[in-house]
Amino acid sequence: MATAQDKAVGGLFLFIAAAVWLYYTAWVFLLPFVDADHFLHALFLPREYAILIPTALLVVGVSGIAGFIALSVAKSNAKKKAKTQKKAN
Amino acid sequence: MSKLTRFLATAFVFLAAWLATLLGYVPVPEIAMEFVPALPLWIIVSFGAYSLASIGWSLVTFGDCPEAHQELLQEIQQAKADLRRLKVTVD
Repeated sequence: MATAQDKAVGGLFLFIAAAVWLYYTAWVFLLPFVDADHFLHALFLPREYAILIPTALLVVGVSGIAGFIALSVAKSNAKKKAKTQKKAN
Repeated sequence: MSKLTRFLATAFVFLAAWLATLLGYVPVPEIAMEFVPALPLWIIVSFGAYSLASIGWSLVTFGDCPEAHQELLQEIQQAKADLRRLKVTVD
């Protein structure tokens, strides 16, 4: 039985994923075809942000992953060095 | 041909088609130029949303088995003991 907490987190993921996808798809594909004075435009940020926000998130995400990899490699090298030093003593 | 090479080849074809459309080498209706620049980003965002949704779905529908869980923990302990005996550093 996937615990109730697991199910709640899973449901939250599903909801966030669906909401993000629907919002972004509407932003990119729907809004250009809607008249400029329709109230729908008030629900969405200016369309430059449709490019800016995902790009910024991507840059942050990739940098985070690269940093994590660098940290893990540095830690494993330090461990290896400590081991060879211990053996030499 | 590995999966990676195949993926890179497909990605390259799509990228070339998108670039050609963006630079005007492919005739498209004027309104299309409103969203063509954002297409690759939209694909990436959709992929991210799909990944998140598939994780969430697996969490909701996963049925875990407590006996297998205990058995697995024991096997892990055994494996760790064996490896330590063979002088491998285990955590």
